[in-house]
Amino acid sequence: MPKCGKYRMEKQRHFEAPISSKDIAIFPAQATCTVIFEPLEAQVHISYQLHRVSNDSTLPHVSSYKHQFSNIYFTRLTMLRKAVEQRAEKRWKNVAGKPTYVRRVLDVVKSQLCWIVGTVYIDMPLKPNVLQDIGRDHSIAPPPPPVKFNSDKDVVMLEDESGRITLVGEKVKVACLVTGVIVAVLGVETLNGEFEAIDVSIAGLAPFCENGGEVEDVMNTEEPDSLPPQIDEYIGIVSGLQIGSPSPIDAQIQMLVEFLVGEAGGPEDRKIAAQVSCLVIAGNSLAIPISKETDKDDKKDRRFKKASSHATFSPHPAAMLAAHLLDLSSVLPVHILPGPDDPAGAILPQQPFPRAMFGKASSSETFYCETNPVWLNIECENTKHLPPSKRTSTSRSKSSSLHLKRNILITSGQPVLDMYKYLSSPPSTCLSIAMSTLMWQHIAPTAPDTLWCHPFRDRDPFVLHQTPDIYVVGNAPEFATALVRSGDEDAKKEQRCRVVLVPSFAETGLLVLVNLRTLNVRCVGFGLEGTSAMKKELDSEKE
Amino acid sequence: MEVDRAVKRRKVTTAGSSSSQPSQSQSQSQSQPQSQSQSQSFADVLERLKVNEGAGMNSAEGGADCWARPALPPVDESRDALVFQQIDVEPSTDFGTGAVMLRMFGVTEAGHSVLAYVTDFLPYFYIAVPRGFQNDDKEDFRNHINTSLGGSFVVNIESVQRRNLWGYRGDDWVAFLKLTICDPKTLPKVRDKYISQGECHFQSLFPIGQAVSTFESNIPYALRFMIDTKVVGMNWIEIPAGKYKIMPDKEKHSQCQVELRVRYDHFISHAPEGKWSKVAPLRILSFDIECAGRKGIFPEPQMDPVIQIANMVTRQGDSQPFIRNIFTLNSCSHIVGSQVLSFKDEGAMLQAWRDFIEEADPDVVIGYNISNFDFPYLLDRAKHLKAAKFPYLGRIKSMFSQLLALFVKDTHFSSKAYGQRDSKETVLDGRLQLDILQFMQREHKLRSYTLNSVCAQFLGEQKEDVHHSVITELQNGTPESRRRLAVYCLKDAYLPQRLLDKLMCFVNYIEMSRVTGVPFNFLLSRGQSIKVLSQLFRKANEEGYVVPALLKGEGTDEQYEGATVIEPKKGYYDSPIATLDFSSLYPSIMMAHNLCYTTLLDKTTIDRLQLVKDVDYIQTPNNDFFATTSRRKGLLPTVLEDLISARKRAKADLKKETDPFKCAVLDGRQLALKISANSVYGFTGATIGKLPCLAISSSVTSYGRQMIEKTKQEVEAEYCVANGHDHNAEVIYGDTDSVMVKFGPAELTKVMALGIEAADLVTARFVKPIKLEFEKVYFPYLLISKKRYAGLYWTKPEKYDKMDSKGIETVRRDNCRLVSTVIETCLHKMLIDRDVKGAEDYTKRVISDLLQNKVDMSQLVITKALSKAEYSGKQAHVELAGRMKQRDAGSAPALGDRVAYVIVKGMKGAAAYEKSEDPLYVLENNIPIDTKYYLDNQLSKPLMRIFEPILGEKASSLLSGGHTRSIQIATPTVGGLMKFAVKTVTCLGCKTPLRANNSVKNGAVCNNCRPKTAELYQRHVGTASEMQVRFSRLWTQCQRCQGSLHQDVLCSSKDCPIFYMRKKAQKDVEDADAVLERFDLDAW
Repeated sequence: MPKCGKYRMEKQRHFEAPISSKDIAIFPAQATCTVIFEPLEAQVHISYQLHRVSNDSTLPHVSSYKHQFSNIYFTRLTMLRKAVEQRAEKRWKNVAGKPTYVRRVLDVVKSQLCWIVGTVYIDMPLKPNVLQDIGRDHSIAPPPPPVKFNSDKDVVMLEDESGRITLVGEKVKVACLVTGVIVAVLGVETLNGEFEAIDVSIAGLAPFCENGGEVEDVMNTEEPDSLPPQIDEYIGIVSGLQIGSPSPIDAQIQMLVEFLVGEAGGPEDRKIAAQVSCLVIAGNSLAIPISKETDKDDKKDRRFKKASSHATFSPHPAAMLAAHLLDLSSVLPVHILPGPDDPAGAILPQQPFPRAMFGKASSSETFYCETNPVWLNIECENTKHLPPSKRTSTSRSKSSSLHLKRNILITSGQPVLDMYKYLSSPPSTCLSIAMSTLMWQHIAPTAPDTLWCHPFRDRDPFVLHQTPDIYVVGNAPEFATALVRSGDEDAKKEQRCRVVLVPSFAETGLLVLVNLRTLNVRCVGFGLEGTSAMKKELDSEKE
Repeated sequence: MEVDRAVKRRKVTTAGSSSSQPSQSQSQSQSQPQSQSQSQSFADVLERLKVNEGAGMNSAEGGADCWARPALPPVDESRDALVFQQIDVEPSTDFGTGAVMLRMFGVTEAGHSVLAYVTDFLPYFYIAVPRGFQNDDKEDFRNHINTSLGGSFVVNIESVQRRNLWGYRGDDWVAFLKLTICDPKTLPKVRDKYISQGECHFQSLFPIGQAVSTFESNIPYALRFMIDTKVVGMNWIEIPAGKYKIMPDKEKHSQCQVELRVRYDHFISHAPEGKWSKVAPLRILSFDIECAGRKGIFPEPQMDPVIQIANMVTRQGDSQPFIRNIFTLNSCSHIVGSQVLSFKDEGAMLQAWRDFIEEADPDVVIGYNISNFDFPYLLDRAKHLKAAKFPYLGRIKSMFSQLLALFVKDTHFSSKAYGQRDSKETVLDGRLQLDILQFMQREHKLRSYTLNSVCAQFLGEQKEDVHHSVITELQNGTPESRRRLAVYCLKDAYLPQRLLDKLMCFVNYIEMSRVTGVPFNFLLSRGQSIKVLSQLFRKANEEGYVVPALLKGEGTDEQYEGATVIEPKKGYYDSPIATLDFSSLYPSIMMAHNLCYTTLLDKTTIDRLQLVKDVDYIQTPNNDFFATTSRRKGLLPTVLEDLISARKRAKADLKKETDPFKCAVLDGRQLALKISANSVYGFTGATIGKLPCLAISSSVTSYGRQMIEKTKQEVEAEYCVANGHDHNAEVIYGDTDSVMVKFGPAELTKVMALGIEAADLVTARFVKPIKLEFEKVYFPYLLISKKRYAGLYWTKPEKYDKMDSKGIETVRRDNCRLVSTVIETCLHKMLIDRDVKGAEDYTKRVISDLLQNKVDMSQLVITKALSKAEYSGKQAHVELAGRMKQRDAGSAPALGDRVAYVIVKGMKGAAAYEKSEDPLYVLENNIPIDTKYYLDNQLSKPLMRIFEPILGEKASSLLSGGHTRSIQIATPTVGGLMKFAVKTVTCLGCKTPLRANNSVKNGAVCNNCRPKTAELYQRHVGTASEMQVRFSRLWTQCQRCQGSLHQDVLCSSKDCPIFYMRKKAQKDVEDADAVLERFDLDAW
């Protein structure tokens, strides 16, 4: 029976995968719409298991800042060199002129075709410069930080332990590189000592997690007819709740919570809600506390004193967040990541919120404080039987079980937003950058140059050893998604990675749902046009 | 071995081979945007230099194939005139005959080097003809001197008609004896031993035991020659065809391409004007060496090897060096844009470098502190290594050059204008030297003279500073680490060249030597007076005067009254203050009143010649007498008139000139002329100088005083309400040559009009060429005391030009940076923002920050050079160096290092020198800073000075108000009581010590503060975030500055504003993180 949902659906963009009509109906953007769901009679119970794949992101217990950032670059180059080399070798083995691989950047011989591997460094005059900031006349207000760092004066260089060489050529420009990426470059050193690049090769996708994807039960293949209804399990992602911001969106958040708890909307909504097996809050849950002092001098004062001792603080936003989290975690697992504006450290990886901060929610077993970025390994298994109407005799005894294992990588968006400043757009978008990071096998190459990060000594937590099944970037300027497929023809089956950019909830009211089985994406919008009006609707819905 | 594996595959042209490499066929020139971004590393700059050279033109890396000068086309001495710019003139002897002669080094317009031996010029001096001396006595007298001195020293005695420069004694010519001496070295012998000490017994004509005055006997031989032949420093010399003789190659004693002999009167010396004002393509070598020192000891040539020598050779007028190379000990990875020459043996490297110098044949050698460090070190090191051939760095080769071989001598330089300095001088025959450090110390008053801070100041760049202990580690590492060092070394070699270009040092000095007529090398090694002396001699000899040589020791410490100061009416003036200046006051006084040696009169002469006061002579306010121009035109006024009119011409030419290089030359000239004109007065007043005449200098200042007073009277009398003006003008301050007038109106335009009017009015009341000029308006104006003021400087009513401050602590080195920051900001707020209240608030906030330990450490660091081991008094930095040595001899500052220190809290009553401490040690151990010291001894005086005129009595409230009550003192981790102290964790909310009964174990807060936990957490997380960002930004900045991501930052530049900041950030961020962790463990 068709049912009219009162929630606005947002049109999805950037889909590459065919979208099952069951999954989502497409409507023109901005239209308030009715979603038609075919009622599912099957009652599937999913148990939810969580494994953190690798906890690279947590800091050592005693965090040390004794080391310098050079260690990260060194480790990164060591870790990624092999992958880059292999792919480049394959790519260029048939190039005329038999290019040789020169292991050290400085050993390049003039006018000889060769390829080299190293870390990209882009010198940009517009990058914020702390020396200038310090030297600046204190009585003049600092200029606003630049939106983009790139300019005509940028110089792209390739560096390894031995030294640097300047890269020139059209290929370098179109390669959309940022500082910190490990690449291989094919070219010739010119008389001027520059390296004229003919082609640039990057690491390519890392292998997918071996146990990822769907693990189907043997029974299902034997009896295709008796397939259990497709399990549609979703992971829900929001970001940028910004509780405590000057223009509150408490109503929408309330709607979101009620939707997820299953208290709002019709049966269909509830059904969807029931299929959301976990919620990820990807950063910026709290708004930056607004200082009430608008006096110009006091701002300066803050700069001098570093930490303002009289920053106004209201405990309410945190308490409100805690209340929502308590509600949510009582019905589904909730993962919360700190984001750029959250009261958490500023450098990546951001450490989890102290659990205790969230009061009662902290005692909930399904409430997880995560680092940013974080790897989650979610495993779903339906343990209960199909509803009687669809039961068949054969499947009954076997009680069809279906495993879903998904590797999910989530960041609160800082790396992508930082890289966005390096590249001119168009052509680059946040989505294209996010996809590039997968291909570079590194999610935050601009750390530590312009993206603040911990000075790790012997690891680089942002290197992708494996490609996640789902890659979530929070706090994006707008919603966007794409599928990245592994290009290996010889692979037994095509593997895909779903990239999702989740915009701020406070600005768009969007909850993003990713189908764990199909990797399709759907958005649920919560009233954008006039909060009060929507609230009324919501009230009527409740009746 | 690591070294072998890493030997470069790239072909390296070895020293000496000048064959050009085959140019590569594939040329892909890619034009590249030129950016001079700060963060760019020097290796990149090197690469770009390469780019700009133009592909194909120069195929060898670092200019390896163009060391030698352009080949010399054949010269026909009977047909070709030879024209060259001479760069140095020095005495020499003929290698064959031993006769005295002069060497004149030069470069032709095509860049060929020339050495001209100038023959037959002999030194001489004059004495007055003794009473009773007959004309035929000359030969007897000559023999008499020669026999009594035992040698034929006096070549000729001649009787000439001259006038004594000193004093007006009528217009008659007087007979003098001109004694020509065979050799400049024996001239003093003849002069001192014989004549001036009164030991001459010749026919009893000379009074026994009484000094005989000599004339012109104390001028250097080379200068004597230059004066007589009208050669001025760095001018062009033309030797007509047939007048010179080229030495065949086998007789050549130098490496110059042309070597010739010419009689001293057979060449033409072109005055440096018009087309002769050009500069030849001189080769300028800028170099730097690195030594591998041992831990904690400043490198010593007996022990520590020279490991790298970086060289940049630039042609004068070019924008980039055309030779860039580095000599390294042990292998070194390739550096794009620079030639790397690696050596296994240090002696071989030094030898190769010497060969490089010979081939590249620089005319000018520059560097940073080369005179006192690099050259002496190289020579001592070569001596130690027994590299006997090394010291021939000059242009004179051959075994004879050993006599004149390069040697180092200690010089002691003392000048009123520049202060006293000990320095070493290395003689490089035929090459000019310009140590940029010495130039800086002379021409610019700076906080610090390290290369780093000089570059920060003038080039706007921070320079990586590698401590010498790290240098050794890099040297002992891999070819990569040595490459890193090499890049650093190359940068240090390139920076002096860039400073030279940026500050126009070379061009300005060329013009200075041309204007004053002294050899270039005199400019840095001698004081001001030689320049005036040279000009005076030239003018005097033209007019038939002889200059008396005053006997040494005549200098007195007699002081005369200096310039006047109208007592300042202190205060903050919020209305425009016009400034009226006498343009070149002292020169114009001398010209106006004809003050000169030659016009100086005494009472007896006045009586003898029956001169009439105010017609024939004048009496100065200082009661000295000078003849007027109607009797005799003074020499100094003539010199000054020439200088000033020449400056006017140069300025006029400058306006017309479009070629930037010629503009630079002209600008350098007008500057040199101005300085020269102003130094004439100082010359007459320099009591230990060559020719002091206090009658002149005191008269000048007394006139000056009179004029300032008169100006004040005139202005105040004219511009008053009684004369129909709206306001009574008031002179609020006057000093030396300027008067500050408060005319009254609040509008800038009105005041400017009044200023112009008043200047003309007053000018009319004075003797020409004295001129009072209206120059600028200060508005607002803060007058603190004599010679201390600040104001906004307006020359046009639309927009102020700048903020001008005089005598206010901003550059003094024994102040910490905080003082200048605070003072500058306060002035800025007061004068530009016109916000006195804001300045007060700002000051209070800084003081409060200081007392609460929130000021960044780099703001508090004071630095001083540890120049000698034993100081008579105890000094903070010396004491500290001693203590650091006890702690860790390795990192302690060595002699010659600059010691940075902060003042920390000490025992009660401890002297300041006991409380100095190493900033890094302070950071590591949380040692409390003696904030009170900074407040009382550093900040309070300058602050009071600027605030008192505004706030009056209230000013002291800045230092003792409520904002000073809140104090935070760090808890040290070492020393004293801390040994016995037990550390207790306190509540982050209320500071209550946390115990088992009032808190959670390892928690953050006490039970009472628990409700506030979230708030406290938020605050601490904010702090931590800021620290983290600070940490990241500072360290990544240093990474960018050093130009490498994969290598650790080594820089330890104490002058860099972020050096201590980044150390502190490291510690702060760890502390902040530790605090945050406590929240994890607490129950909320």
